[in-house]
Amino acid sequence: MTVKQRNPRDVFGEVLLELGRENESIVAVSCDSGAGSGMDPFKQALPHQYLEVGINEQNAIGVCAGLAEGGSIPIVSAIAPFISMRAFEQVRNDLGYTNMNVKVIGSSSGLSHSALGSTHQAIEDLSLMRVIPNMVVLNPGDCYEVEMSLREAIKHKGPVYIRMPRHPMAEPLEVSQRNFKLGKGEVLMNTGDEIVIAVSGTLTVDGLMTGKILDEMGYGVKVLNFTTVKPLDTELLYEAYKNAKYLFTLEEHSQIGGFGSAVLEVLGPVKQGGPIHSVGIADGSFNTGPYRELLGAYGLSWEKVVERILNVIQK
Amino acid sequence: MQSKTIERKAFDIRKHIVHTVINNGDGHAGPSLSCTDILATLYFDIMDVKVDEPKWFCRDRFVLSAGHKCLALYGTLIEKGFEKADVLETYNKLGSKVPGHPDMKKFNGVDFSSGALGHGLPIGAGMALNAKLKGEKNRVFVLMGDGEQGEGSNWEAAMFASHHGLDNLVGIIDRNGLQINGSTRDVLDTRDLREKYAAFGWSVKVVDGHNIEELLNTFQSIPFQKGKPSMVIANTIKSKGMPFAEGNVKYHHWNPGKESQESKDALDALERYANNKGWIK
Repeated sequence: MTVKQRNPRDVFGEVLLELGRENESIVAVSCDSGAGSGMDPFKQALPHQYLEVGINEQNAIGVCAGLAEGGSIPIVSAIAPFISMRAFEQVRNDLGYTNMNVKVIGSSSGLSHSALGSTHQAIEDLSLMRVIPNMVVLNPGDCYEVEMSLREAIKHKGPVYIRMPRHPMAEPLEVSQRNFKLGKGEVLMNTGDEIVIAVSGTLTVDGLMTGKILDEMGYGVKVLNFTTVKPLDTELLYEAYKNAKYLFTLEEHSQIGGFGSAVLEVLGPVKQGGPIHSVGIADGSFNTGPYRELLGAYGLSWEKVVERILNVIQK
Repeated sequence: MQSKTIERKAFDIRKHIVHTVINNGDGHAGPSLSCTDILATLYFDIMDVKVDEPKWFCRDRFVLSAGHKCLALYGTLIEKGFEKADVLETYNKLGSKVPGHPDMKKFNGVDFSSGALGHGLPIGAGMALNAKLKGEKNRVFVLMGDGEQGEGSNWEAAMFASHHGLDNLVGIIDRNGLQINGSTRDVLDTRDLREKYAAFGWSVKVVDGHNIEELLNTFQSIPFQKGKPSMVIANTIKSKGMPFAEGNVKYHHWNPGKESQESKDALDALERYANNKGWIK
């Protein structure tokens, strides 16, 4: 299936319904977030497997833990900051340490709610979720990855956090060229070792565009894509990094604690390879506006990323 | 089971609590001793569990939301036969199977890990809903503290449970009236918990949490009202069974040391109680 510029929520909803029909243990749990999360088709078709909890994320996670203890597979969705931050302790204790089979969907993740301000933006969720024991953290960058993240999350027995962006996303590659595996990254482009761009999530297309421009400028470039932030594909990272002159990580997330930090934790002790720069949202950034403009303001659009990289390598 | 037999079980559980804290140091003796009679009544009469199959799918479940009262739960599960008593010798030691808050991965019979307050009622509500979804008849018991009622997540779950008509869910509040910083009335007055839970759509009963006969009658009448979750507010005495410590907030944590006067007093009190009952020690 090739999906071009589709809304990730729609894809999520369709796949969830298909999986729910196949497996009656799946329970879709809404925190008054059904329409926003794409769960409406599921609600209409499988009402006996649909649970509306209301606006109470802490309770929602506890309820999911209780459902999972009895063999159900809850898929709980709420706006990313609320489910990952307000209910953080419940996710940590009742899903993480206990290894409960619950899938947590952080909808409208990252800067999706770009105009609504910091309360509704989630640029710290990867940091918080990946520190939780047993938690698998997925950060899909297009609708193919949304679909595969959900399918693989259901196959995996244990807690999974999936970021679910709001805006339609372009596909960087034909799906026939893709081979999604949980815990594995992929090479999107490979013309050399001079600059490695490791990207995770919604900026995948910007990362690839950046790579193409730098390639046209004569640099040898690798672009790596990591849907799985935890467990990180360390093998792919080591292999790409050992001959790299520079490595840049790219993500729609705070520079503190997210994908970039995860990469630095892995590559920090490696002696080969050049400097590593984490490109994300600087600490203390509080801005609002149209989504793409906000990405630009934070230096995350491909135009700005090219500039940032050139500033580093041409020094 | 006869109330006298349950009373004896409660005494044996209290012995585990007191001996463990005396021998192994610091533990939540006071809160554990206040809920002991409730746990003994549940596990030795009310709850349907299988010792040889701790994860039996259709079992009644118990969530100790106030996880710091775990010595009472450990003692109860040991007396029930889920684990051997010598496991308590590892209390406060490296790699213990009996940590200061219960861990479902470490101790047979613990239905869910707990410790952070305000987590148990939502989890219990999920378990109760799961039973309904799967057409099972099992019930879920969640024991909370009264100080714990300050956690907002309890009230989220209270609303949820009544909205979904979870009459297989039983909340129990161990109302000993004390929390770390003093009386619940002074720290954060919960006022009338009966009225509060009733307003949230629960059917509520208030009982003497040390009267086995009354506890039996109460739990045997669950659900108090069809279609509604049941709440048992059990009036209890913190440190019940150690007269010098009863109702004294100082004994929320207790670390008397093996040779202390308090240790001797606690052991003497247990012995006197057993003698008065005519039990052979």
